Amino acid sequence: MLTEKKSYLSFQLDDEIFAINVKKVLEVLQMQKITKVPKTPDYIKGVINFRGEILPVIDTRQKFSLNKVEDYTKFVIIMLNFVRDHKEQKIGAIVDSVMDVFEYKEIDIKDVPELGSRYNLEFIYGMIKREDDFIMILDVDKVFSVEELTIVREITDNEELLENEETEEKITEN
Amino acid sequence: MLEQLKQKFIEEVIELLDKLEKDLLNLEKDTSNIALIEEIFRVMHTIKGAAGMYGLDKTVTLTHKLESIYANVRDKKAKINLELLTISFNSIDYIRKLVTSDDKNIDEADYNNFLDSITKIIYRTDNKQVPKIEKLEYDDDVISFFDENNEDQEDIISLFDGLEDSNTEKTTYYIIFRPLADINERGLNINSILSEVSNFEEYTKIIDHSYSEDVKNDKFYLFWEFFIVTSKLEDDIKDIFMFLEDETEIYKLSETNLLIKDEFIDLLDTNFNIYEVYNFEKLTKFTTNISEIKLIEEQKIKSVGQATEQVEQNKKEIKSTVYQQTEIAKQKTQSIKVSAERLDELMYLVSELIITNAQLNLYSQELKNDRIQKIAEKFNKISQSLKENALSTRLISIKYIMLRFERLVRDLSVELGKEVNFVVEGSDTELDKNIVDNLSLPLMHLIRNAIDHGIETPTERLELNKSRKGIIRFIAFYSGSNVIIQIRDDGRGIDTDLIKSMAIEKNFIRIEDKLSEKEIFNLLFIPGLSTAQTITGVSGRGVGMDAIKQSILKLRGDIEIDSELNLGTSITIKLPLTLSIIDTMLVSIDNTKYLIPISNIESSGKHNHDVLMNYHNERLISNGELVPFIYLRSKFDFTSKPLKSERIVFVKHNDSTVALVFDKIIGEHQAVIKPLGEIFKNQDFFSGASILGDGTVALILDTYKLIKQFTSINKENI
Repeated sequence: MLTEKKSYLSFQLDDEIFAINVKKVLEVLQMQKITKVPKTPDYIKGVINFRGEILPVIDTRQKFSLNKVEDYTKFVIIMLNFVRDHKEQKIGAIVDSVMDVFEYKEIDIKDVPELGSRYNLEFIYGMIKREDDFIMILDVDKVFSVEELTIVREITDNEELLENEETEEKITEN
Repeated sequence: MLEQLKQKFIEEVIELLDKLEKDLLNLEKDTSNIALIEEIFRVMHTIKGAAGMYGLDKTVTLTHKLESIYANVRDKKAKINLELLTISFNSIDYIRKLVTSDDKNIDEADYNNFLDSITKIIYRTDNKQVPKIEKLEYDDDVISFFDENNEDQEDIISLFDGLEDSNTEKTTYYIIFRPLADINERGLNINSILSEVSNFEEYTKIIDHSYSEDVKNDKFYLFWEFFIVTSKLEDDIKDIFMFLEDETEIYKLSETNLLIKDEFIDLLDTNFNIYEVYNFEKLTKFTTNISEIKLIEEQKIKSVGQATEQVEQNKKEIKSTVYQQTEIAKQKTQSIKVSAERLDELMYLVSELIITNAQLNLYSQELKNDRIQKIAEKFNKISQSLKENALSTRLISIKYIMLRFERLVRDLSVELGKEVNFVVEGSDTELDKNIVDNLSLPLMHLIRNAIDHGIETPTERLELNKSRKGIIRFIAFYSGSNVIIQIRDDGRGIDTDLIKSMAIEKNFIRIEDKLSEKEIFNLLFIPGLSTAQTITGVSGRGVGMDAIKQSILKLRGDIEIDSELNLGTSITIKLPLTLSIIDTMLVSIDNTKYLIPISNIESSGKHNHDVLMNYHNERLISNGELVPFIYLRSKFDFTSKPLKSERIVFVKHNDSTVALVFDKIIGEHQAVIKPLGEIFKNQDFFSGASILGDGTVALILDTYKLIKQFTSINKENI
């Protein structure tokens, strides 16, 4: 089993490369009009109509606390399914661009070293080295099951707190 | 497969239990209704049989005991009383529990206790002295059926002389039994069948037609005719001839005991022919002649009467066609059962069609091609009627929940020592299944309120010159595209002064506020003041009017209270026919589109932006009145520049009007409501979303919650 090859879709976020199991991917969509839902966390971009269902779309950069951008028009939406509370759910994740689909043996996926890692290991399934790139394989179920997360460790706790406070303020204002 | 069958069985038993409950409720009103008792007995019997098939022994035992009680009732050994009815109702609940839990998960001790309580009642009823006609002894010798060549008419047993029987409820059945030659090979014993018939009831007559035509070839011909007079059910007779359905014909001859009529016996004696069954026409003609008895199933008997003149085979065919006819007649009145899931699926597909239709309309307008436009129009018409059709299949009549309420009224009034006459009007009114499902809880609370707080005790009522029995009316009717449900009681009513002083005390209103009666009643919907115990002084209730209002609003409905002190209270609920597709108004702010349910909208208008911003306290002046407004552009955190002229939509909120401010009012849209999903479950402004013709999504505003959230009008100055 461990020598069995699995397919992964790699994509870019800021200057990082991530990958997810293609089994989780429903479709990759061009950027389209997203209907904003007021009074929801900033990382939720809004909702779109995907095959007749109304599904949330999240700003993955923001969810991962990476650098924000203003212009999303060139970005794409990866439609994913994931399991949360034993229920299958669908969600759209905005990423900068998708790169390619590649196969990889389970056995060749490395654990991410705890020490000195930039990433919050809870959400990382493993790591692959391809040519000069390190690709982080995301644990989709875990990543999208938590409300807020910081995937990059270097973002300090303080900054995260600050952000939370900001959203809380907004809520109390109303 | 077995699981599926079992599931179906459970559904059926639950249905039977519902029927039983309904019958019992009717029986309570009319305790002497024999037909009803028999029906109850029959239903119990069916449940017992079905449960036995699935090995639900506990259910079988319980039903059997219950059946025994009703056997006693039927035989006039026991009387219907409150105790008996209560145990019957409890038994229904218990059987429901047993069946749904597959006889498992039941506390043994609890179960045994329950059985004991039933057994006690049976014991008591069994020992009661009842006038009974002495049992007539049979002469054992006469039951010798297998003597071939016994052409003697003395073979006819159980001859009753004209013992005039007071028991007129007995029915005379006529059975022709023609066993096929292989009966013994099939493991069936004719002797035991015959003895079962003769022991079935006191009044039985067996006519033996056994003869050998051709002794050399050892050929015997056997058939019998039975006359059974019984108060038992036709099904019980059928039980004897189980597995012999094709070889027996059972007819109801008369609703009286024919075997005690001398003339009838004479007819049997004089017309006896060993080779032939009785001429049916003669039998029936006779029965109509001897008394004023009405023949039941006249038609059936008639056609069989004709049949007797034909050869046996023809007769059988006719019998089967008669059978088929009645079956077909039955089927016509029944409807097809479709699982709720399938209906949901149908509704989903129709919704998709409506959305696609909106797309087609949009693009055909853009294309300006006559031919395509014509097709689009046609498609539009068809999908509209398909939608209406699909919606109507989802409609169910509210009588499905009425049963629960009748039971509730019964139990609660017994418990509270009140006498209540529960009158239901318009229970055939139909609503979407989802609405009906979600309606039972709020309605239940309202009815409970009416009994608990509305209706006075019998003594109180008599003092007030009211009839002993209180009346709770449950009225449902259509009003346009809405259904109105009213719950009215003739109880003590609501004391407006008391509510007012409570509201003042709790700072909901000020002493100097002048409130109309309606406004005062609306105070009851404010959480904290809503609980009726503070008003009537009766305790023991959980749910306030606020919660009831919430659940009605969730169904896109509305609720109003009206009351007059000492005369009663009336609660009016207005509901849409369906939940999944609604008419909405499409509006926008900064190109983001929102939908407002048209049923909430009062009117619309324009307002200059600068003028609007200069109003104090977020209230604008419209037709000389101050109307609170919600400037959604800022509430929803839009940062773009506002338009010079703002569009206003006035929506209803309780009895007041609130203005919502948008950029544009685009037009009407038939919205297929889709859920927003898990991630948005905590937001309070939107009840769902809908897909527009261009494939984008518009959010449906929940105006009630929105207004509650963004204005303070609930707390001050109603």
